[in-house]
Amino acid sequence: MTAEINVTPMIDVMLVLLIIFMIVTPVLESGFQAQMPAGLNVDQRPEGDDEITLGLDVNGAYFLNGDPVSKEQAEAKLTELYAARTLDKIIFFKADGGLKFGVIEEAVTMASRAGARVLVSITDRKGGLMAEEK
Amino acid sequence: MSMSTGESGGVTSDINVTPMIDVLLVLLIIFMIVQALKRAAVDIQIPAPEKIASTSAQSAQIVLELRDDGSYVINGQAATPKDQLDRKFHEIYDQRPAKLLFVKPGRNRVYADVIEAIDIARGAGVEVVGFTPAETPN
Repeated sequence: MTAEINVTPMIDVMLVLLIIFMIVTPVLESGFQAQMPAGLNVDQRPEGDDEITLGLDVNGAYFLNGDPVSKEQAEAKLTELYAARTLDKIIFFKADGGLKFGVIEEAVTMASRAGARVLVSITDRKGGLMAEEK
Repeated sequence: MSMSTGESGGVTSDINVTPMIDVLLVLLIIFMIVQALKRAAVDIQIPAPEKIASTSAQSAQIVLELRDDGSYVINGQAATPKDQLDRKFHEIYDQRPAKLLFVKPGRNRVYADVIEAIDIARGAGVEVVGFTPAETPN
């Protein structure tokens, strides 16, 4: 009869908890809450490394690459980023679907002033993750 | 030594959950990766800021207006009901080589409506979508 405790299931549970917290923590910290609009005829854009992401959460607050910023800070930062950027002028844009377009337009105009030329609006895919490719 | 049949002398009734947890972990990781790879997006061209809004010249551009009252207006014509937009876009774009659409939403329209309209247009063959320059209040 072995007197040792079997630690394997405990380690498994710990690992799962670790992963869950890894996912949840950045979301909790930044407080970015947004339900992206959904579309059927959307492109597939795998996440890349060198992306500039501007977020507008459900309250219209600005998030640059996941960090909460003020609108003025966002513009200054974006101007700096795009001035140093030679490869593309793409801005990845995550905004809550319930926002008024006036708020969106402000952000778009700001991004345009800062040097962005193409806005990639991150959406949800109608029919979920495994929906047919169009 | 007649009791040496089993290690603990009985059958354990606990279910071994370890393999299940392993499988769930792997599934979790697979879904995380798939989510990252299958991110959905719509490209929208945004106007350069320094451009002066003097494009009043009559051109062959198609502009979809989303007015604040909830209507959809293409090139200033009569409002198109939303369920007719797809048919209308097909009518316009099927014989046009330039699959370009400008979208001009009213400031009180909801962002999800804008994306939905763009989505319908893309379904009807539009390839490039752009926002019109914002009208600066004078």
